[in-house]
Amino acid sequence: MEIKGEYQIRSSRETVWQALNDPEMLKKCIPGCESLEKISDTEMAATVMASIGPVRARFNTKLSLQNLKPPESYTLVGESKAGAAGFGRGSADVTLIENDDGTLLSYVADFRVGGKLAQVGSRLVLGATKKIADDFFGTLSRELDPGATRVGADDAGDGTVTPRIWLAVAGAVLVLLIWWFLLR
Amino acid sequence: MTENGFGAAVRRKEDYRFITGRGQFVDDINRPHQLYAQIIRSPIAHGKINKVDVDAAIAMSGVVAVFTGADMAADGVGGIPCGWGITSKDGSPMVEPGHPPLAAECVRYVGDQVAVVLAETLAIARDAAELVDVDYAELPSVANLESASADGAPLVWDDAKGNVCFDWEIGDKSATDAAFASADQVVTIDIVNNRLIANAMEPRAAIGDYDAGKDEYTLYTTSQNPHVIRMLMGAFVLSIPEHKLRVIAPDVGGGFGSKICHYAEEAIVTWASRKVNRPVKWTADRSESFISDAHGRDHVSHAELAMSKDGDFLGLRVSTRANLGAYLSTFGPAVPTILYATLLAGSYKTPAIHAEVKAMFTHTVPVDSYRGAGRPEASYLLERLVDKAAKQTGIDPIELRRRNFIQPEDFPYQTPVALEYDTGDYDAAMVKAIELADYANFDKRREESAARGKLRGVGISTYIEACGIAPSNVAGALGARAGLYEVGTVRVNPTGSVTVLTGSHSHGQGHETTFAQLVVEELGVDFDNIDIVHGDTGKVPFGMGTYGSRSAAVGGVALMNALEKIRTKAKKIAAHLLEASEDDIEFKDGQLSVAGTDRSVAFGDVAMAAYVPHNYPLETLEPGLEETAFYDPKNFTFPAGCHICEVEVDPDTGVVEVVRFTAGDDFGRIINPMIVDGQVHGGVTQGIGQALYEQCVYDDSGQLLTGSMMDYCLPKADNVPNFAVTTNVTPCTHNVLGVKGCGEAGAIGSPPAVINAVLNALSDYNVDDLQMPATPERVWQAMQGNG
Repeated sequence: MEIKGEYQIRSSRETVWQALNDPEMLKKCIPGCESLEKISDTEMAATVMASIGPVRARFNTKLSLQNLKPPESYTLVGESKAGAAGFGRGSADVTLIENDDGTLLSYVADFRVGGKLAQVGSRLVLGATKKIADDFFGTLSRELDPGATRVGADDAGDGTVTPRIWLAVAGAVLVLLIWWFLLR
Repeated sequence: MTENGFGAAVRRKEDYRFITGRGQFVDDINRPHQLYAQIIRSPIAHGKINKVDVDAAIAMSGVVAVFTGADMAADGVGGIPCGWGITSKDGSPMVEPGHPPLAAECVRYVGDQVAVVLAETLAIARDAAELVDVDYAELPSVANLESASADGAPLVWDDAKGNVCFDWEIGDKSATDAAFASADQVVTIDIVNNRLIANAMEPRAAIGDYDAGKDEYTLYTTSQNPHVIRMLMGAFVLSIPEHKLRVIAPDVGGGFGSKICHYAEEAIVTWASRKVNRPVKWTADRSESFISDAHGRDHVSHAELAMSKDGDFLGLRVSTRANLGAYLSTFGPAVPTILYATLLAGSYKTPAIHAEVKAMFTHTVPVDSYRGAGRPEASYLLERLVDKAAKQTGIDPIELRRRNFIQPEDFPYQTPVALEYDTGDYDAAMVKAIELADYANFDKRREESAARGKLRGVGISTYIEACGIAPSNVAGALGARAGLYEVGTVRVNPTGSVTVLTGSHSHGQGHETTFAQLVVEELGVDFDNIDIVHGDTGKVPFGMGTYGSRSAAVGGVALMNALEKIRTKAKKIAAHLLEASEDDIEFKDGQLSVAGTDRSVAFGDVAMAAYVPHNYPLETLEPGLEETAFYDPKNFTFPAGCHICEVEVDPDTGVVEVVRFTAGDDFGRIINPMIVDGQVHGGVTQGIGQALYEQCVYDDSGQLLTGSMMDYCLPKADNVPNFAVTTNVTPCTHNVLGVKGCGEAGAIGSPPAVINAVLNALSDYNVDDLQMPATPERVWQAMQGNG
């Protein structure tokens, strides 16, 4: 399964790069992260509590940084084991591009799950993982720049607030219309 | 008809305890000081086990032990045996890999057992299982027949080249080729028989209880055949002699074939109980059932039917690939061969048939029997093919079937695929079904549906099945590694009540009622004074259990034979008591009387005389009144019938609704029509499930995606109509009861009837191929021409 996203951050590329390599920052940004320690310059071990559908488990995760091209890009490779709940593994290609507004962070992640996670959560995994990835990169962006925005259309993204309001208004009108028709 | 005797619609005796929550299932049983087992299962489809780190789990408070495959191997525990051997075309035996209860070196499906935690409570066992760290080196896997057959596919077993377990054939190839050469027309079809998961209401459970004082083991297990489990586990896995091993299968909540097999967990708890010297209990949760109960079906077939210009069937050619999963389950190899290809004649006199079956290993849960086991696959293929032939030739589907039926005067009929049918009247059953279904007025109903915007279709299937695999010597020649007889003991107690010990096992079939009806009929004992004991090797002398609709046809006949011995002995005792000749004694309605006189003695008094033999022919007759019979049938029995289904398809959504369903079956003579109706209802519901809802799906890496009730769609009460059922009786010719068996027929006849009905409903859409399950999306896509 593949997911991707982009964030516009009003910080220099170097600052974003530093953050992406800072265990403390990563710990802050990984949702449900209980611990994260650096094993070497390119390896980390983390414990993460996460829920996917009905499966809630503690994931023992090994992260490694590969294809390092500071400060442009790296590949974050992770493997999580959650005992009886199964496992997840995947990688994310993270790219930083300098632009007039600061830095454009984009990621393309590919992952798969196994064991109970796949068995009872497969139809929920994509949504849950998109949310986890979004939370991670979203928090990271906002840590660096409280005004960071998610850019590009993506079905998992929260985008801007306006369309949702319009959707709600349209829905309410529709309900009223149906109600009116039924009562006639 | 005697009240409560043969043929009476007696209410089920056992239902009182079931509907009042008083059943005793394995999970209801608790042994003093028992521990709880949690099995650690592989989360990957294929991988080498590098290391199993159990230290953290063992250190946890409340954990008593953690065992791995290495521990079992070190103890000399054997592999789980397969109960049926198949020989390939080239004469080589099937590839039969080892099957350790706990995998020590390699895991081969998601769910494969790797280790077991034993703890004081289930919660502790589960928490500790989280701490067992298994390091796997993941290997490439094959999750389905397609990927297992590909060139250079990863191998499940190194010995099984191309992942082929065996490549088997049946029938006369050259005669079949000749039939095709002379045929006027040929119809072909490609069929997928979808993989299913039984989902019995009660999950599997097992308690191992070792008694160190006596060096004896007791295993409580959710099994359809406790004696078979004792034999397989005792002799092959744990080396425990029969007299030291008692297997009890108490109330069991549904089996459908998935509880025939000897499972690893049974051996694990029994072995572990001795290791820790305490009882060990394991109960599967629903998630575990999905990945550890044997799955069913999973065939991919190509079939061709050769016909004359008038639609006479001349030859049938079938090529099937069958998925066996990662290991050979107890009956796994028999299902796609002996129980499938031998049924390809169906109810038709096709003179030449040739079938080849290639059985494949994949990295999936082992595949074994599921209600019908092989016969639904045969009937689905044949009846879809015949309907397609009707469409292609323009001959009415009923007329085409009728034209090719084996006729009543043809019996006994030797098919080209090994079986000899003893009796039947296929047209009579079909006529009854057609009448009950009000087939003649279908067009009116179609118009009425059309007026509501629905597409209505009618589908028919005529099936034959083979029950009560027999005789043992023939089954043995075909690869069975056990006998296929049954055992019944009748113990008349001193006051005249009766205890029956049967080797059959009831897990929903109602033996306690039907078998008691046989006793009422033969001995005239009051229904409430009869107890049917089953499912305990410590009580019942021996038995082969219940599967393949064999209980009445084999177990019931064994009981009848034992009852006959009782009657004979009772007559001798009565002759003595009445000072008459044995030949003059008549035994009727519980009274033994001297023919032509008013002198008689009640059966209860005869029983008392047998146990208090003060006035008894001790010189010529032993005291007591207890008899046992072993019965080995002369042949299979051959139930047959006709199912007619009507569906409505919503053209906007593709949703299929079964609106009428009629079954006209021939089960031979019927002991209890109410129970038979219930069996048909259940079987048809499961058949509708296969046709419209159920589908086991693995992803490419061997992860089970339909591993919960959210994703595996079982039929629900509102998915089925009220069934119309009727029977036409041609008594079985070779057993004393004249019975054939009814347990599986519903699941055998219904899937093709449902799909033929859906295709009929879509007749304006030029859809001639539709695979099961016919989900709304599949139907809708087919209607858009994307089938």
